Amino acid sequence: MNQVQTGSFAKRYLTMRSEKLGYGLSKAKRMKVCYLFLAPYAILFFTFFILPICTSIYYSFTYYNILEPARFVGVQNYINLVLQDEVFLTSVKNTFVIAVITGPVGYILSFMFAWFINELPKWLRAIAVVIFYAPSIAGNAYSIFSIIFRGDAYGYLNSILMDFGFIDAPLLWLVDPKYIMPVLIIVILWMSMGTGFLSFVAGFQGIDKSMYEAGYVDGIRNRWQELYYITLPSMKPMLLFGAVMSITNAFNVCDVPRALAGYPSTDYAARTVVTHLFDYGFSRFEMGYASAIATLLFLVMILCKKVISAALEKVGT
Amino acid sequence: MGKKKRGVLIGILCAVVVIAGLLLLPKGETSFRAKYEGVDLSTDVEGIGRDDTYDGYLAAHADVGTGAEEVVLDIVTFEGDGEVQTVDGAECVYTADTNMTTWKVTVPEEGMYNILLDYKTVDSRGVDIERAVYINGELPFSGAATLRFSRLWTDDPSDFAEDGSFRTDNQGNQIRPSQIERYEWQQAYCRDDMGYTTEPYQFYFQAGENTLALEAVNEPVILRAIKLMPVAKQQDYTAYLAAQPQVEMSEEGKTYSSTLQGESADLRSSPSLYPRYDHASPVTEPYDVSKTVLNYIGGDPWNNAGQWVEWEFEVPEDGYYNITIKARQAYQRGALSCRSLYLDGEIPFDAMSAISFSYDTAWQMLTLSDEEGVPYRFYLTAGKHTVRLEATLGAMGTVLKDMEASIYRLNQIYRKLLVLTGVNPDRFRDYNLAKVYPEVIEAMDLESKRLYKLVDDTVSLTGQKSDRVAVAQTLAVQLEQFVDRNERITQSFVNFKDNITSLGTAMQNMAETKLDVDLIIISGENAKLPKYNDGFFARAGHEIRACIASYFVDYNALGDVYDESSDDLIEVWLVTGRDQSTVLKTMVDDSFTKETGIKVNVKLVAADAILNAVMAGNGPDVILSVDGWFAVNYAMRHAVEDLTQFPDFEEVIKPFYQSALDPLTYDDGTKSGVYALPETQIFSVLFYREDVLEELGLEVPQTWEDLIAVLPTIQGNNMSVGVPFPDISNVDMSGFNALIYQNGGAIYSEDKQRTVIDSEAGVAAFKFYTSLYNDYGLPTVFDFVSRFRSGEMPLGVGQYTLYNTLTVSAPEIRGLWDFTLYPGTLKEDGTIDRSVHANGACCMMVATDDENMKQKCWEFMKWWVSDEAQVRFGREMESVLGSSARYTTANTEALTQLAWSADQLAVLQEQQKWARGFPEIAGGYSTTRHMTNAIRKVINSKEDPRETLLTYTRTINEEIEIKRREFGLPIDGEEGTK
Repeated sequence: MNQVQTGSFAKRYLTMRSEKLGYGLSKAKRMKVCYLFLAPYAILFFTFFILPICTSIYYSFTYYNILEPARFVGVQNYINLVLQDEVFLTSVKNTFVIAVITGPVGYILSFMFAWFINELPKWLRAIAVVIFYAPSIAGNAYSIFSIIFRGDAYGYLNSILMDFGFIDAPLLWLVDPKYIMPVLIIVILWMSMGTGFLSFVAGFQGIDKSMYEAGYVDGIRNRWQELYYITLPSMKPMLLFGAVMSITNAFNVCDVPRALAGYPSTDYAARTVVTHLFDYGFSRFEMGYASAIATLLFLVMILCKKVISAALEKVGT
Repeated sequence: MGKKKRGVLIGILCAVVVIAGLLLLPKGETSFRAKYEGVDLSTDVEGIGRDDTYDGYLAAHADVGTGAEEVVLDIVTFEGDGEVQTVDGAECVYTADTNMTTWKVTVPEEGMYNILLDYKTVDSRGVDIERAVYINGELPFSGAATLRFSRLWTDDPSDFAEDGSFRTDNQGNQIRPSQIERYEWQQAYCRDDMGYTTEPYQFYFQAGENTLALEAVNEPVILRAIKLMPVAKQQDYTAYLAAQPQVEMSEEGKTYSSTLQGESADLRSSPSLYPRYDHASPVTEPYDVSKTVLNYIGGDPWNNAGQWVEWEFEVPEDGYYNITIKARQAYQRGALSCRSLYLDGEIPFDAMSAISFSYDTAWQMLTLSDEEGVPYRFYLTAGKHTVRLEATLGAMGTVLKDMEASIYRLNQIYRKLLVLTGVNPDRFRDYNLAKVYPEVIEAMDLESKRLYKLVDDTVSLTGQKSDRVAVAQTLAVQLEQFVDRNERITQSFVNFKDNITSLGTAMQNMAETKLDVDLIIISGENAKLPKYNDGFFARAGHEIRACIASYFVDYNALGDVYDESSDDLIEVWLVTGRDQSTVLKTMVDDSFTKETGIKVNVKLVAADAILNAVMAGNGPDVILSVDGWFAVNYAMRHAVEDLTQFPDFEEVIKPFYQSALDPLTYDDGTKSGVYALPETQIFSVLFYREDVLEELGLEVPQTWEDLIAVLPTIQGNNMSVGVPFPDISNVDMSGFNALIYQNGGAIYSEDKQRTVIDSEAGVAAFKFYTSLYNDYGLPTVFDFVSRFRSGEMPLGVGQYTLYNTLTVSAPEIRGLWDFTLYPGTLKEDGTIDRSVHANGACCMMVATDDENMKQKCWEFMKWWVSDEAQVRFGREMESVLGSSARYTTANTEALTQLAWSADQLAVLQEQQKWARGFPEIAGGYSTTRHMTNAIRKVINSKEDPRETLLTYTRTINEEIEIKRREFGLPIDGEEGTK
């Protein structure tokens, strides 16, 4: 019974599709020139985005050790990943901890700083923007933290704590699994004033002054109301952009733990999904498995983006 | 417009703060004379300072005048080792590289003498001859133990084309000629090898019979004569002129001018002073915008005092000539590079003992002239002459000597305080330093004054206060504060140590005296000198043309480049660096291709490019200098060739120890073989500070037990011992691995299917290793080089390449440290097992079905790991990059021919016998990974070592099993394979 229904639904869907396809094709023929204009972008997008994603999805169903041809293994990689790989679960846990803390906090911080900076006079604002954005421009700025958290008595943090007598021997901040995650989260937060922050700064600039004036006439009573009812709704595109950036960044955390906590980190304490992927892809040469991780990560990111855009729809309403 | 007003207000506020800050800053004082005037800086506080310095020696013999006349030793009557030979018609003494030879000498009158050696080098390891001088059985001062005598190097004549120009490759780039030795008689004084004392050393000889002994430190030499020369003073320019004959020169002679190109120098004291090419300036002669044209000499390697370059030239008639040098010192802002000029082996007059070149990014034409700008006139007879430029520190030498002594004393002060306070003193405790160590406080006071004087001296020499000497001032101020307020010592103790280290670095930078020489012009007084226009437009034009050329020239291909389609071609990739690849390519072109006819293209690539290229089938045929683990990982996936298939394999691996081959061997139960040839092999040795151990009354430990026995004394003095720990930045497992081997354990089982580090031996090693940190409190994270320098870590194990780093970077502890065999474990039969972990790079052949190609690649690999190629590569690398880059060849034959001295070589050879390679297996990555985890776990959370090790061993074995399944390999206790 059920089957029949699905079957007929599928059939109907396909007929509809094929009709639409035929219509689309004939329309495309008429609009050749438009597609010509579309082509440069379409080709680039296809080669550098669609193709790699598809390849990766394909390889995720194979055993592929890079040096030998790939061998189809079905969903075995996914089964191993979810059911067998304990380290993957650690990495998912760590990634979510990092994402949940640094994503929203970093996002809110970026927004707050952008808001404060917006109040400054123009020339000072330019300087402040550079100062806040600098950690992201200077790619490996986080390496400074490896000096702060150095494991011997010459590390700044150890030195300060020992000076004040909180500890009597240096702590191995980046070696001891107890401390690795908090240290990483601090560093990642510091790094999070990225492109999102810049787009917020631009967004604040772009809001029409007359909107505020109209708002005052209509009875805006304080800055919070101004922020919530005028500023935020006018900045929706930037907010979405910032949110997407901060999710991708949070899920893509890889360089910072690798540089600070070592690779691999002690007991995998600083393992994230991307370092896990890196491990399988380039240390163990299991590209198929690594592709499976990548595919899962990709799906999760899309899901998160959907959730966030849904949440942002509600802002200001 | 409140916003605008507020903005202006904030602006004004900021400006006020900045201006106030500038005004409040202390004005730079010009001189510190008042601080040290009237204080005797030459005496030391009891117990601090070295008593074997040259200055001390001179002071002790201050009332002795110079010797009256030249005394010649009877060279062939000696005691001790040596061999009388007749060379070039004269009776000479040959002394080998471990000899001690003593001569008797009767001196008519007591006095100070310079010692002059007339010597000839012989073919050996190609490094400087090193000797120590003992007079009447004693080493007069510490510097007498490190006397150097250089060899003569020249361009290999076979590296020139028929017309006398440099040979070019098929891309039109000139090839740097190899340096070969010329064996000729040379005369050289015994002098300071660091060049701090620019004059030759003076030695005291009593009247009557004395003995003079030469102890060989490195390299053999033939001695024709040893002379004691009275100490002579250089004549000045007026005296020089007065001594020359009056001649009238013809018009032709007056306008004569001859240009000596820097790159075509005839002789040099070191093989690193080879012709170089400069692309940076359009006025370097000769010039080409895109091709490599050798056009100057010197550069980075012309850095140490005593290194010289010599040109031969001819003048048409007797008379007076001027000398102009076109040189560039673009290396050190605010510093001078000095050169001494020798004409026919003599410095003509005192001004020529230090010609200084100041900083400039462009070439300067410097006509040697007096202060008024009147060119000096050099008298030359018609015919051949030589002009030699020798690197010297000039007046800076004295400053550096003082600085070196200061650093030594500061480190002593630091160590004295360290005994009481530890590395991180408790800032809330009163250590009562003035009462406990009154002499240290006194020494600090004195040192502060010395440093102030040092700053003044430097400033008066260079004319400006550069950042290098700033740290000396910082230290002087700091010491002054320490003396005034003792409690400050404990507060900024760490900073004090850092400052000493920076002073050491500053000294090293100040001792650099690099210079480029493009050409030298010898000209009559009326000759017109060429002008070199290096203005803005010339430079801009050069840059633009170079930019355009960069689109057409492939700078990545090196040497002769052959067409991809040509037969007999193999493609070789290497991942190390440009210098390595250039040297390799030159070697390939002039020896391998010449001998075998096999053409080779060499490419320099990034290590991660190899995988992609091999994957795409575009890869090389042979890959050089990759990490050992590549070989087995590629082998597992059938990407590289098994080399045991070649019949002469056994022959080729003869010069290697099994330990070098172990990591390259793969045996999984279904196939086995050796998949690469070893290039380098690095292992650890034990470094120790002789002076500190002597102070503490300790012997160098032979075993770990000895080491534990000396620990209380070392740690009681707040010092420590360095044993490598798998830190974040450097996951160094050599410490633990060595212990496993020494306890009789192994990493993997016989069939290499699982790890056996959980055996009794492994557990014992693990317990001991972790107890070093947990129970004995060794530091886990530390910078060995800087702690070794300060003496805070007088003992430590480390890779033997550290020797080179320390020699180059820590001149202030020269002669106070050494290395010896790795601490071992005492066996039941009384022998000591000194097994040590070794690793290295290898070269491998990418899998192919083409038998012909396999043979060609094999020929190449055989050539590359052979003794000759490895020795030549090692020597050339050392001459290109300096002794800090000494090559760590795995070839045992080649190792004996690198620059190590006889004693050092003996240690290295003995240690290499004990080396153990880390075997690689499928899933082997997990072994190191979880061994590291196990160690860190025990140290972080003080867990039970045995339990922890067992747990992690299980994890390792599980991962190995997963990998074996992946590859379809047999697994213990299971039937058959997939």
